[in-house]
Amino acid sequence: MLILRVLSAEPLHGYAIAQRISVLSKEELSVEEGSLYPALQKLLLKGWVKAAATVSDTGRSVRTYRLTPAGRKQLEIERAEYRRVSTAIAAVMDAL
Amino acid sequence: MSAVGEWSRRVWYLLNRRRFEASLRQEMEEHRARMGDPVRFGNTLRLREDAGDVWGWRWLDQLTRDLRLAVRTLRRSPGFAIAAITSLAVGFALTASTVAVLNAYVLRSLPFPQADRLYHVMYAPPGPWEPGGMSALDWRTVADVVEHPITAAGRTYYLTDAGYGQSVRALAGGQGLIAGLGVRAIAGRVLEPSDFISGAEHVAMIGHALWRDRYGSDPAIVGRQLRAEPESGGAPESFQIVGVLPADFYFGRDSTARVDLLTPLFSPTRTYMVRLREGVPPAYAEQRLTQAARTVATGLTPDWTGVRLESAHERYVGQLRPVLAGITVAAGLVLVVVCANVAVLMVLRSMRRQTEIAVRAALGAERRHIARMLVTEGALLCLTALGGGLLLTRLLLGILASVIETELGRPAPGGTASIAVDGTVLSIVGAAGLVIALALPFLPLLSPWQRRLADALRRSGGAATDGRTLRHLRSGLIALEVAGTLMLFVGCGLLLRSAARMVNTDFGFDADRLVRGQVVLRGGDYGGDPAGFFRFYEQFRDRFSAAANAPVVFSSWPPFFDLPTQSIEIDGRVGQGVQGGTIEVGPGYFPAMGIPLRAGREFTAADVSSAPVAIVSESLARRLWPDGQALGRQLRSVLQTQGGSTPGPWRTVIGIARDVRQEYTDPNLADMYSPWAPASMSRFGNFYVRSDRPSTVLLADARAAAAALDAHAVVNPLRPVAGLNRQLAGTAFLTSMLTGFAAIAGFLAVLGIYGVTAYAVQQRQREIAIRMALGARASRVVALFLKQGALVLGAGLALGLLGARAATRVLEHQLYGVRPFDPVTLLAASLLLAAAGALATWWPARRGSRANPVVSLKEG
Repeated sequence: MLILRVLSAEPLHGYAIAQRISVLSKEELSVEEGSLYPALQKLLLKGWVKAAATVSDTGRSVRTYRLTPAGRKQLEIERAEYRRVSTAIAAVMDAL
Repeated sequence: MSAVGEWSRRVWYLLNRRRFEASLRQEMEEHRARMGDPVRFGNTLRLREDAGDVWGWRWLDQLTRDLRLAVRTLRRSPGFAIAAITSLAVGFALTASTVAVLNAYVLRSLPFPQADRLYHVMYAPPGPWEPGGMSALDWRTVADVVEHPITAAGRTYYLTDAGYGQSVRALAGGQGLIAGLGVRAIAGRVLEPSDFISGAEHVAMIGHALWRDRYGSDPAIVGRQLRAEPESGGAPESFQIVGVLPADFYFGRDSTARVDLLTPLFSPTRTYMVRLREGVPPAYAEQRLTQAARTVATGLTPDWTGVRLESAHERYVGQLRPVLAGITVAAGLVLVVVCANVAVLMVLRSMRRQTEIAVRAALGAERRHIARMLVTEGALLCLTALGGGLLLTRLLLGILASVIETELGRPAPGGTASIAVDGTVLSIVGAAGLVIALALPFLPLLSPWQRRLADALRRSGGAATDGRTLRHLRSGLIALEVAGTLMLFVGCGLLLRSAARMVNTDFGFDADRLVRGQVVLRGGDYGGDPAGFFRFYEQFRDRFSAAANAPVVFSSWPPFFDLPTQSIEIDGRVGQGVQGGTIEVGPGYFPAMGIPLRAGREFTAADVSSAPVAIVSESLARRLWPDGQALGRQLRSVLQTQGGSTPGPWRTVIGIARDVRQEYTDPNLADMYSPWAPASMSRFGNFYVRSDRPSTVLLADARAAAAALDAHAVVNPLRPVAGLNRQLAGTAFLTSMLTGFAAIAGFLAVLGIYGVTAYAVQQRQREIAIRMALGARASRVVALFLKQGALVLGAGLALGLLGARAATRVLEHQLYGVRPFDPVTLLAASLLLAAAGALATWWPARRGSRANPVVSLKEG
């Protein structure tokens, strides 16, 4: 969900995704490479993101990932699900 | 997201893998470079693999890797690979071929829709007698069991629309035939109910062969008029063609019984075939039909057994079942022997590879990895062999299908092309192949893992000993091979003995150089008068005899077919006849056929018109007149027909002929010969001639003789009388098949025994050297191995004898003069196999005993 969220703003490559998540979460969350890349492959497989070859600032050719319409829909679903669960958790926590 | 989209992306990934992997590598490198702390990034290869796994193709990588390794390993030992693949492929090809034949005849249904509900109707047991009135049977009264009565009557026509008439086989069929057989039209339409109203215009469907050969498959034939003249004479009839029958349509004895014209049937006719309703048990239908028949039958005898039904498929293939079963069992046995042999090879090979496997294990391969390697190797071997075997089968059947049909004496129900590798064959043989491919490679894994590893490492480089499990496994496999081979040897031996007995059977006549011919006349040309036929035959005989310079004789019945029997009674004991075969023969028949006369004289031309005379066989003479005074006595034959019996004229016995056997198992040698007579002639004349000339020359002479008398007479190709002997031909076919199978099995068994002994000798070279160094003689060493070999061989033979006892029952119907459990054959087969086995043991053992002990000890 986090990857989808950061990609919803603009297409990014792998390192930038990890950076962005880390920055946005004020360095509370960091995505390990060991889970980032399998997750990206999974998103590709599901058809939620598309990859395009671009040249990075360092001159290497890297893939940048872009959200597809299906991915956007999935993000909405997951966001709604997240809200539902977090509201529920918050309700429980506040009740005590 | 849809599963289809996901899969298409998976496949896309597989196809563009290199690019995907390269970009993954690049982006990870970028990632690592930017992180500035490369160590923290971890193992990139591992990361890449984990990421790639998401696509779900890991198993394919492993399989490719395993296969590549297997191919490489097998290529390193080409001898083993070639031996194993070839023998397995031959085994599979034999099995697939027999299954294909079995499938074409027995497993497939007849080429009609829901053919399992088609039955033949028998109003009485086979014989001359049948109750009368059956054509009046109202099928609507049994509509609860019979869906369609399939009624038909055959006729011959000559097409007259273009020059000299071609004879065509016409079939007049009832409405039930169209529906019951599911007749289709490949052009135009099928016969419709309105065509069956009497007084309607004559219509017909044209057969595929006639349409193709005479009308060049012209679709415009539909709607055309066809003029045809009935064979029996009478005015030409005109039919409007309404449709074309499919190529595989047939009606009659077998699938070659093509129908050229299918017309509506108008006259009441007996129905000999029905389609039962779905789910009706034949026994119940028999009951209902018997009741219905009783109400209309005339001339029923009190002992009438009722109507019987026989499945159409069973009637077609029933007689072939024993032969097919015999061949299938034999092919199965060959496959078992082949598998056992390949298993032996595999086990021996795995022993030789112990060091390699130990090294792999030491380098970290787990047990399952090694198991996977061995199984992949074995499966690769078996599947290659399966593929090769099936290809070989296709090639073989392409060439042999028509030969097989001829040898079996019956064309396949679905035509020659149906003897082929189809879905059923593929699934049966494929399933067997898969089981073998999965089972064979596991055999080497049966040995205890720990011990084997330890052993192998302890003696690194040297030959390792084999565990007890493997030794037992090897012995068991060899015993299995011996058993299977013995069963084949016994089957083959039994058939050879039967064939020898058949060849040596004296039929009472001489078939050597004797050929049979048939001349067919047009009934219409002779006004249906049998005397006209007779005059033609006499003139034809004289002309042809002169041209061929050999006597030509006519008779009413061919050899090797059971004679029609009648009751034969004598003066003074009327009504107490004995059953005997009856046959009408022309003058000169006995010398021409080589049948010696024991007493009296031959028929002459004068006997045709003089007072009735007869010649009897020795057996008949003995039965009728035990006092031995047969000549000059009176007898007559009584033809039993529906509703009574028609006695023939009283005949005086003028000669006694030697007994003639019609079939190998002819139960009745009592035969009565009467002179051929004008009254009983038909338009088909069967003649015999014994000549050294080639049959093509004889045929040309016969055709010239016939053409000089009647331009319409047709002389069918001549055939050697010996060729009519289908029983011998069938046995010869089965014998040659089984001999081939037994030879393959025997060769493999000997090879297996040789291989195992050679291996054991090599293993125990050190022990042999020590024994010999201590003073054992070479013969003692050889005896040691022979003793062990004898044990395995003995066990195999015992098992084989038990198996043979069960399996030879399949052959029971094919045997003549030999019982299935024939001690001579069993003994001979066992001795032959034992001798071959002993030789295969002795040879490597002797070689081992001749090796120099000093060298063996040094090397060991």
